[in-house]
Amino acid sequence: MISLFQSISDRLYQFKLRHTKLIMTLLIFLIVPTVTGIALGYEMGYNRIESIPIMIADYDRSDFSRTLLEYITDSEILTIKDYAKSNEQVKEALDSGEVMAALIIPEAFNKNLLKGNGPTVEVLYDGSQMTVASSAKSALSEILLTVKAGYMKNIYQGKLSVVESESMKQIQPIGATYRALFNPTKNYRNFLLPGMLAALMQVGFGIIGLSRSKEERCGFFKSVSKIIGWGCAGAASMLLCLGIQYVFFGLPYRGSLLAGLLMTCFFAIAMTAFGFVMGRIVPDRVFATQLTCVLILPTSILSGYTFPVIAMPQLLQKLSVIWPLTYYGDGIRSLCLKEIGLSYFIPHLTALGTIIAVELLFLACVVFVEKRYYDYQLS
Amino acid sequence: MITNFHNAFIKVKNILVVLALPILFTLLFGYVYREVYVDKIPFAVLDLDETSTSRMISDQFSEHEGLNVLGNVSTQEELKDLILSNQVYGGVIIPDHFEKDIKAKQAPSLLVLMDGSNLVIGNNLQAYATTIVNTLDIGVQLNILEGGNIVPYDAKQYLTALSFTSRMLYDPQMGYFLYVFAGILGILIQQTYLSVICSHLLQLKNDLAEKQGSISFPNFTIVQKIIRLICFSTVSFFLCLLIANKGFGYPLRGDTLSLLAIVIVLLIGVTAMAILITSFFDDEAHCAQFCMFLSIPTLLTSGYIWPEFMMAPHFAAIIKCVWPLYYFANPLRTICLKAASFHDILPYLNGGILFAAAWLTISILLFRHRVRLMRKNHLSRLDICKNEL
Repeated sequence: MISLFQSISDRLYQFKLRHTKLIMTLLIFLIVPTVTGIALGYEMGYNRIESIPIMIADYDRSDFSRTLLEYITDSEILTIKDYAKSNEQVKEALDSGEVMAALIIPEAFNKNLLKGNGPTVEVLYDGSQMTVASSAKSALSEILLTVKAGYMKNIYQGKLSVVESESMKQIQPIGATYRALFNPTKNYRNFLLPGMLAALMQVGFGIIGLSRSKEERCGFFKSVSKIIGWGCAGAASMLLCLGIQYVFFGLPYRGSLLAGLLMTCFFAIAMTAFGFVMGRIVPDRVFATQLTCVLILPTSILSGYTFPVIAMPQLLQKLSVIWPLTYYGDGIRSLCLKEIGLSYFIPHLTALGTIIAVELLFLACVVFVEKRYYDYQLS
Repeated sequence: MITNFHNAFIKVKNILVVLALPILFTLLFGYVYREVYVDKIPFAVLDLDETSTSRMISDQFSEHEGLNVLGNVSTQEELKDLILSNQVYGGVIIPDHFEKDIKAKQAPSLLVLMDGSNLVIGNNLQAYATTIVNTLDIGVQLNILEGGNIVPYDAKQYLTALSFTSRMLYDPQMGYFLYVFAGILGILIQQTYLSVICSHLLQLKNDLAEKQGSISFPNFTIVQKIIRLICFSTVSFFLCLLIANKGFGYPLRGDTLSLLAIVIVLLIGVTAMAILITSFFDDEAHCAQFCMFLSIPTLLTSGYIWPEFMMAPHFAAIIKCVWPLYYFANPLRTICLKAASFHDILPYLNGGILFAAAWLTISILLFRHRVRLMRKNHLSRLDICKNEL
């Protein structure tokens, strides 16, 4: 058994020594997108935030409180984890993270309500997990407003002698229908994954660009052909990554296919060109890698993919125009979720094209300076 | 002179990476998330009624601080087009005969459209619109009750008889910085430490491969280097927390001992993973490239952004066995925001220690095995050279 293990590891090691470049390329373009795509797709299998654990402290135990609890039990977003006997127990559960929200119905609530004393139901949320807290809040607010509407219906029917069919109209004299376009179920995975995968893959594109630039000191046109070639390979790997989400995990794709292809190619080329330029100007390979990644990785936040650019300080809003992910992250999410044509992406493509042009211009300057430098050294 | 500067820089580079980079990024991200609320969201109004009531509603939307009403549109298609092209993130449609229906108590309905593709913007828009509509609703309800011969005091009592108090604990403002910082800090500490420690380990591996005799790994020199790096990373971690606290209001409610314990456990866990990674890579640049890929997947799978209770079956169990960030990011948030005690974070510490112990054993064995393979390969190459000579 041990000799078998040694023989296999020996062969694998020999293979690795012979094909280091191939292995790294496969790792970046095939293994990383596949493994990450499958892992993240599987992890976020529930798609949206649901089954949020909630604790109930019902000191009233009346018909009213039972009705309220029935609504919570029926909710898909909330799950009653436990019933508390004291407020300390509620606090402990929230502190330990056992539950994300708690509902406290005070003693004699129903009695006070009937007397018109204005009792209050207290709802506590764990604000340390913003996304979960806001989902819990929106679900609980809906339930509490429904319960309140039931109570107001009785007031209207009793005090103003309004018939039942009319009372609902008077409880909510101005109605509002909220329609979340393109992502009506508030699917968190569809919101998060396309851009996050792009944020991950852009590191690979940068690295590939950098590695290829270190292979040989080639002229401008050969460099451009390398950038375009490896950029297209990167685009194929990005499509593989998104394809895994589409095929196995139900990520929709509703937009123009051509727009998606063009955006992906432009994005991959822009990032490959960035890595290539970094490779040309930073002599040390390891340091060039670290520097490239240090410059690329923060753009996953600075591009405004999750936290919108409009909420950032002015300086960062202006800077966001130079990150390719600003256009691609938002663009690919729109293409996944919206039925949208190529014409809407002309500004995105123009911006990405401009970034590529600037990078190539910079590369041309670097090649020119390098040539002059070597000529000078030779002379 | 340039060469001297380069040499001097290479000497201090590792210390700079571990110490200064996390601090620099803390400052940057603190600045990014400086604004607590997402406001001035571009918005449009489609007023199909064009009466004084509809104009009043339109004004309510225009005056709300969270919204930036770019103007009125004339058709639904125009509004949809603006949303599709991201010029606005939402809009409200005031239907025809709106005022007439209100007067006839027919409960007309506004249609609020939101771009749901960005949930952060969509949720904020919905919250702002709900506040506006509820305020309008209460005003009209008050009029109806008072018109029904109910005295104003009683009318108000009826409307507020059943009330709900919401309290957002630990982070009442629900700011984005407080939400993400613990996770980001974990990534910063992990990535900077990983990049430097891998460099040392690879150097050691190559040195060991060239020598003969027993493989002395882990030896005194590398342990000393690891301890020194852990110290630097720990200092950097505390400095980042301090900067976040003083500069950007990040709360530090827990005790220092708990913080110290989780960061050391994380760094030991990451050391184990670094030994494992360097067992597979021979080239430092390749190793650095691979390590850079780890930041986003490890953050997204750490149970920090996507909570453990929402993960697919068995996923959390797997992730706890393959990467140590889970044992750091989650307790860090609990300590800082909820003032969790040492006792509260004990399960995370135990898990982290177990993780580090198991992976250190495996990775040291693999590392030694890899050195043996390298030596064997080295010898066989020497034999070939000798034969050729």
